[in-house]
Formats: sequence, C-alpha cells, structure tokens
Amino acid sequence: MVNLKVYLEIKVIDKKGKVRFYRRKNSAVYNLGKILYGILLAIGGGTNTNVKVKDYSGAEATVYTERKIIAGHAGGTVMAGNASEGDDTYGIMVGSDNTPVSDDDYCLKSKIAHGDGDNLLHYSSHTFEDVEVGTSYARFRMSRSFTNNGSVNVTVYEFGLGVWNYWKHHDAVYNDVKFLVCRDVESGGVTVNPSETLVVLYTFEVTL
Amino acid sequence: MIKAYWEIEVYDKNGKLISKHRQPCRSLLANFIRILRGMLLAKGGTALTSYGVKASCSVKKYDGTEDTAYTEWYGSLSYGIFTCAGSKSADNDDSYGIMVGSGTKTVEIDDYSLESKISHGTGSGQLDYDTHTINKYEEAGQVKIEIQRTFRNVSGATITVKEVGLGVRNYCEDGDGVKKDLKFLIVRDLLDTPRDVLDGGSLTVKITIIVPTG
Repeated sequence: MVNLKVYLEIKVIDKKGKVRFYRRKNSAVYNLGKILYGILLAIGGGTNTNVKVKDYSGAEATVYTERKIIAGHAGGTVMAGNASEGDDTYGIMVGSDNTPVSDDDYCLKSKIAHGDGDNLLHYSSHTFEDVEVGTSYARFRMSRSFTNNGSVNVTVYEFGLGVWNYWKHHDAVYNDVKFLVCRDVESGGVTVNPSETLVVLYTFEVTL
Repeated sequence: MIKAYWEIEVYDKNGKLISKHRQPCRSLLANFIRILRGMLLAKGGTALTSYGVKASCSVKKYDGTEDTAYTEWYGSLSYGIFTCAGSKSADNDDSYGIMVGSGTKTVEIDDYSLESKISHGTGSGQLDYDTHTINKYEEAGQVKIEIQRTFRNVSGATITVKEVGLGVRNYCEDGDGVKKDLKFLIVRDLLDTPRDVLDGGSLTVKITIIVPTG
C-alpha cells in the first residue's frame, strides 16, 4: 500500500465570519493515474512524451509530459491547477449535481458558473499552503473560496479539481487540454446562503 | 486509496528464476508532495511571447540541499526541452529512475537519497543498470503503472541489495543552454528481506502503482 491520500474539506462561513458547516472526507481521483504515468514515463531531456486522458467532454485527449520543440518560446506545464479569480474552467470547481461518483467521471455534471448573480458563485483565486513536513508525514493544501453574492440560496453537491495541460511553440498554442483529477459528492448538499462563503480545500498527503 | 508494491526477482547466471518477492511500497517521500504541489501551483495559459520560469517549487536533491524545480517553463530562443519529473533514465544511467542500494537506514519521510547506492558498473560492488520498461494498464476502476529495471551482476562476487528507490529528473533547455537539470528521490523503501545477486546473475525490480478511478 502506498502512502498517498487526498482529502476534501468543505467549510461554509456565514456573513459574520463564523464557520457554520464543516465536513472532511477522502477524495476520489480520476485521471491522476494516467497523468502520473505520463510524468514518470518521461526521460528528462529530449523526447516527446504524451498520454491520453478524458477531457471535460469525455473525449480522449492527448496531454504532454515532456516536449522537445524546435521553436521560440517553447515550453509548457503538465497539470496546472492555480486558476485565477473568476476563472471557473480549472482549479477547484463546484457543481449542483448529486449523482454519486463513478469510475468514469470526467467532469462536474452541472458546474456552478462564476458570477455575482443569482445561482452563481464568485470564484476566488487559489491559496496554496506551504508543504508541511512532520516526522511521519508531508502534505500541502490548496483551497478556493466561493462567495454567494446573489439573492437566493445556492446548494452545492459536487466538488472537483480540474487541471490544465498547456504547451506552446512557434509563438502559438500547441496543446490546450483541461481535465478533471478529483470529483466528490456531498450527498446532502451544502447550502450557501446569500453573503456566505464556501471554502473548498484539497489536501495531498503522504505518511509513513 | 492509491496502492503500490515492489516486485523483486533474482535470476542466476543461466537466467533461471531463483526467487520472487513482493512487498508493499510504503514510502512516497516528501519530495513527491513538493513536486505535486509545484505542478498544481502552475497557472498555464502563459502569453505566446512570454518565456522563462512561470512556476516552480523547492525539492531536496540527493545531497540534501534544496534546489528549485521548474513546473511551468518556456524557452527563450530557437527551441525548448522541458520535463517536470521524468523517471525513464537510459541504459547505464544510475542517477535516476529505479535505483538500488545496500543501506539499511530506516525510511524517513524526508529522505532524499538511498543511504548507500550501488553504482552502475562492472567492477567490484557494482551492478550493470539496464534500461527501463514503463507500461500502463487501464482496468475496470483503476490505472496500473509498472516501471521495471534489471540490474546485472558481472562484478565477480555476490552483491546484496537492501534498499530500492525511484529518482526523477527535472530538465529544461533552450538555445541558451541547459537551464535546469535537477534529480531528486520520490520513493525509498527497504526490502523486507535483502536479496543476494550472485555473480553472473541479475535482479529485476518492478514498482507497480495502482491509482483508482472513482
């Protein structure tokens, strides 16, 4: 048994700044195995290495983990997760569908879009905590806040982490694929009232 | 839960299997978490004519000192080569990929090297490091990753292997030259039972990582 675990934590902070809901659970992972394979498959110095993952549409998409490119400004990133404020296309995302997780999930079933109107949530930037190394563990946590600036309650059932495989060469985009690595469902739903903020945290941890 | 295990096979000089041993892989190290954080920390979508280091993280090199691994990078001139954490080192390269050693120090979460790596070579106390075979199998509900390497003993004497590890390479190069060439350990385990590799024999080490889907 390997010692890697992924946890999801969910908090709702009311308009007075008090945590009124908290839940922690193990997270389900999807394309993570495929991308980890691609990362390790790379030689480190001069080949093109790629693997197939399922993108948000369910289509098989090629993602690169090593590139040798004869072109200016060539390079990329394998699995970026640090989406900016307002960008609901990757990073931590939330949705309103309560379909249980399955082996072949590739997207949030019903993503709640970024915005400040009714039935939307305001997606913040991400926070990455430093890696914490203890005597028998190492972990880091990434988080994102979702604020309800609308006038009606928003109920969140599903939570996910999407990443971006992005490469460019010849001053043009060469590969642009976003895919899900975690999807989780809170079957009872988490209600975010107007002016409240939902905070979603993913922890990646290894322990001895 | 992600699972992983090691399989160790020992062969004699005639290629006959002498022993086969399987044990859990227990020890992804702190460096694994560091590079995973570094990859997720990247933003992607860098402007077309922008270049340089856009995301990075600190990892511990084999000597225990910290260095910066790049996780989003674009070359400035004429060409670019970028790998985040590749493990597929070539024949005879004992600097990353699957490595073996004779150390017995208890594994600690922040280990950064094998305690006593057995070097590649054909001399006394050395093993001939082969190429890697890396495969992926998609099965119902899981993805299985297998990384395998063979080590041949032509040293003239028995060599005992007690520890195994997996090192990776972070590498960037463009028209100005190599910008980063950094190797670091992400897995280390002690063998439950040390394995003797007789002169003329060989050892095959395979790590299998099973990642569930859902």
